[in-house]
Amino acid sequence: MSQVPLRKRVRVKTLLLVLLCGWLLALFLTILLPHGLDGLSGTVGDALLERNAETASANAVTSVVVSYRGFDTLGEVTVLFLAATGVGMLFGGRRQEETGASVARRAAPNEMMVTGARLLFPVLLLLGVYIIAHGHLSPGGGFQGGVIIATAFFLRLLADPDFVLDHARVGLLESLSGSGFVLLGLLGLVLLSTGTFLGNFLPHPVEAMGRLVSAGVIPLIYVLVGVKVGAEVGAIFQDMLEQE
Amino acid sequence: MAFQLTPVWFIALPLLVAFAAPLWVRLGLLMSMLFATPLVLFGLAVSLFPAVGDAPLLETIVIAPPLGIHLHLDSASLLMVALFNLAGVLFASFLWLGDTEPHLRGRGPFVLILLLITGCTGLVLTGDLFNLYVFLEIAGVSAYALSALRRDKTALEAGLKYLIIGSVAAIFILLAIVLLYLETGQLNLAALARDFGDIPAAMQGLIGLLLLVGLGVKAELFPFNVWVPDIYRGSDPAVTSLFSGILVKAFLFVLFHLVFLLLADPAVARAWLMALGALTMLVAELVALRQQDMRRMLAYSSLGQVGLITLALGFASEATTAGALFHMVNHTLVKMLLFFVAALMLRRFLSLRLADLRGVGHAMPVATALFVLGSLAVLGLPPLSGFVSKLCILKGFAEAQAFWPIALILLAALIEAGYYFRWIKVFYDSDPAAPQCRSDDGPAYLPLVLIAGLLLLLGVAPFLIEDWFVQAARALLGRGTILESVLGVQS
Repeated sequence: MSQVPLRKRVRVKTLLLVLLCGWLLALFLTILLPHGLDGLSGTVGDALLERNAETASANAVTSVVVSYRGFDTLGEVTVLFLAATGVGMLFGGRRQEETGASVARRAAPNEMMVTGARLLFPVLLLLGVYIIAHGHLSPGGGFQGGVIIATAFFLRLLADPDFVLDHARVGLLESLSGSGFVLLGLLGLVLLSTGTFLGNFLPHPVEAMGRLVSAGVIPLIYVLVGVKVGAEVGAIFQDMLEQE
Repeated sequence: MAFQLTPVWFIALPLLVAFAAPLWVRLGLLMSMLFATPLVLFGLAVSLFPAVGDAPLLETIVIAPPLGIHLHLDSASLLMVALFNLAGVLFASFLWLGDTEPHLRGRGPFVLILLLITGCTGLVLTGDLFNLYVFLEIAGVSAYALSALRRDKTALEAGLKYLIIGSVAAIFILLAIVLLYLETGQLNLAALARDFGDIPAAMQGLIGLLLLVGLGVKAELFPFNVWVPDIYRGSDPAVTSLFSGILVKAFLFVLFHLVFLLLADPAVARAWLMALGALTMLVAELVALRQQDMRRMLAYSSLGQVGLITLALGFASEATTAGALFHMVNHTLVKMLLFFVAALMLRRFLSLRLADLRGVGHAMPVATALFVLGSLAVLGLPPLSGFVSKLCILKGFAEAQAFWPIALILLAALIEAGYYFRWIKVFYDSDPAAPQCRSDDGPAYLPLVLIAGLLLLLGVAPFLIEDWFVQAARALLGRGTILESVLGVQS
């Protein structure tokens, strides 16, 4: 090590880059900190919260995420879909070239782990389903629940050598839920007289607020988001795992 | 039941088609759907042209504009949407007819290509700042994955580089959005434009800088564009035609849409943007002179044209803006033609280096002739559309008594002529050792010939669509109209 001259050991460019980033972060914090969280008033967010009763969703965050800014959510789901597609193409495609090699190489984990993962699996799945289904009532929703479901499958994939996820079936689930989201949006456009894309075309009386069946189309959309997120994150996990 | 043809179809339809990709795979309809979707949307765009001439079409999504997301379809954004979908049709027909490599034909590329076009369409249509960020991510992520499509060393390097630099640019834009929301509490573009003047001047400068850096990277402006040639070199040439033809145009449009909307007087930013444009143009053209690889040469040429468009849009007069929009359309068509030719040559010769392409004019006469036509259109020679659009820009500058941009543009055209003719000369060199394989992939030439026809048509009869560009320029510059149409709805 000592033969390497000092100027090669200390990477000046990297150091400068780090310093620059640090300076930018400090600058940004000095700008952001004076804006306390209570400093904002009269924002779009406040206005949307005031109108929450219209959607009859007990969880105000959900009514913003799924209804008022549902178009953004559709976009985010699409970004995830693209990422899963990209990862699938870059990592997954080599399967044909080196068939079987990756599966055989992995040693079987011990019995405790396999059994534990098998026992945990339905519990995690149930938790995920609960969080998705109650997205319009309590904190949580399609994204969070979907990731929990994907984690459950990931656990099985890691721990259980006999467990295989059918690529075609995951892809089908992904495409069905995505198409369902867009179709629900289009139904809102077509069915209502004052139709808008993603409009809430099912009855959503305010009296029902807080019940499981309430808020019209919102829980339906969240279920689709949950399935889609679960399938996509699961597919990403699987593609990366098989790549090893 | 009311079936309306509203702007949201431009986004909802391709999303639906992309999500349903496994269905098309099973039915064997993948390529035809990739072709039909942009074609239908292009038809829809053309049919909407008369309607948006009078007033912009606003489409509310769930809740009315200042609170919710809306799509804003005016002449300028419609022009872009029509252009992107036309480019999509041409690209899909090139893939379909051209019997291209399998890595461009699967389910993955289908989804990525379709959603790249959708992301760009969303970028120009949306009237909401955060929604714009979402579409930026859609367009970005599909572009990263597309550039690594070939999965050899250069392609993976290109994909990784693009991923890193694109994400950093997106973070800059996100920071600007955070600051804008903290200062005004609004996300709607029109409401932001109304309140932007009340933000303290220093903060305005910071937000402007963050946006300029972020969008400058994405729109490939000068100090931020060193990554571009590597990515154009590493990606498949056919895919590169999408980057140069659609993606850059969308980000340029977003940059100037924001500039014209947020600043009450765009003259504040005029000097900066024009300087950036002029620098981009001159540096790129000079570097292009010494390139030995066709993709790198075309990449630098594309940067030069981006610089020219920035220069003309930055001036913000109606005549130059109309000219710049015309040049955008023109440049998209030309670069698609040139990159398609590059793709055909690459398939035949497995290399695009200058030395390896000696005498290609004898082996591939049609492709080389189309390359010559394309380069003449880039240079702006009379019977082609490049002449008309460059003339529009120059006339706009001359009317405003600004002569230094004219001198620079003509100088850049001269340098351009230098390197394009260098390549053409090598192509027609009679070399005894020239590869003499003659296996014509006939149908692949159909989209290329179509583009060449369009270039000629626009050059001979620009009056067919010249009014649209003027109308679009008025819509792009018409800050008052946008504010009134969006915020007037509320009251």
